[in-house]
Amino acid sequence: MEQISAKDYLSQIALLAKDIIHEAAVRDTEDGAALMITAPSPYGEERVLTYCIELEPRGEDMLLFHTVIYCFTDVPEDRFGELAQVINELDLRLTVGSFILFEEGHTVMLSHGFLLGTEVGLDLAAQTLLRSIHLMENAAAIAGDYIDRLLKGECTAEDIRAELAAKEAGANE
Amino acid sequence: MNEELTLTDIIAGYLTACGISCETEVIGGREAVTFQYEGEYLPEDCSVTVEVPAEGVRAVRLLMTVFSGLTAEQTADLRRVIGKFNRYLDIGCFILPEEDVLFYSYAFVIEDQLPAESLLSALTASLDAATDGASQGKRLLMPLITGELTCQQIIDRDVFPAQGGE
Repeated sequence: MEQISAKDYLSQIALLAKDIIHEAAVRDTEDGAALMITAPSPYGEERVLTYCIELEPRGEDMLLFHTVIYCFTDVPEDRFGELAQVINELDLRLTVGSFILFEEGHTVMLSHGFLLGTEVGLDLAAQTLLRSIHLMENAAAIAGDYIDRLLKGECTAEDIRAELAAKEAGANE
Repeated sequence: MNEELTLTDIIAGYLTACGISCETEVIGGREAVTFQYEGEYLPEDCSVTVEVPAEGVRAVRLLMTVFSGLTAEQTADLRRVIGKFNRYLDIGCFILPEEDVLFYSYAFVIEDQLPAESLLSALTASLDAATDGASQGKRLLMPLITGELTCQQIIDRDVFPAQGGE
């Protein structure tokens, strides 16, 4: 990994997923590089999601891979309170990542970071990254249904909490 | 060989080597390593669990107790604050799964193909990063728990956990 820059590293990762990417752009950041991607949403036939993947060194021999998926934008302010409750419930059930309500940007994001050693080869690092993103997309798809209904006023945060609890109780039987 | 046991053995071995006593037990049907830190701003009860979400990969979850025995008012205040805190964390997040406990949670996946040395470095770096995140949060939130500061004062200080490289 030390042989190539963070920017080149992310460019090569983007190439690995080129078949499903609409657009990709890599830029330098203060500490490393970032890859912005738009790709078809795993939920909602017409939706396109934006992903931001950042790569930066941590310590002497570790790399931080940090991914953000912008799940919902233009979230109305009057839904912030209930949305915060819902994403807290959803966070408890995620395999990886956590939802962030960015109120100033009226945005709901799914965020996940992980560490790998610099000695890990590109293929395995990319495999780990894409695997993490796949799990995040699964979470975004499930959460998307709940958040969509909440934003449309079709249910309340308490309804969603009850549904999640019932689903869990059913799975545990 | 049971791969989950192998991973928990590695984790337990690392903690023991660091002088942290730990136990291996079953939590929610999964093999888990449990341990405790001791120190004013260190997390309390901690656990590391492993599951297999798909073939060829394992998911490791670190769960660290930041505060326990919270009142309803403290819980409500913490819900507001951790929403801000979590924005600044690259790794993990603070969660309130129950009414009286604040956890720091960090989960990540590991490919089975990862060489043993890389596995160990990823595990140890993740454990260190999670401990650091939980400790920073505990230090920043302690004035809220003691009543020294209100929720709004904590937020207005504009000081949040920072997970940066050195």
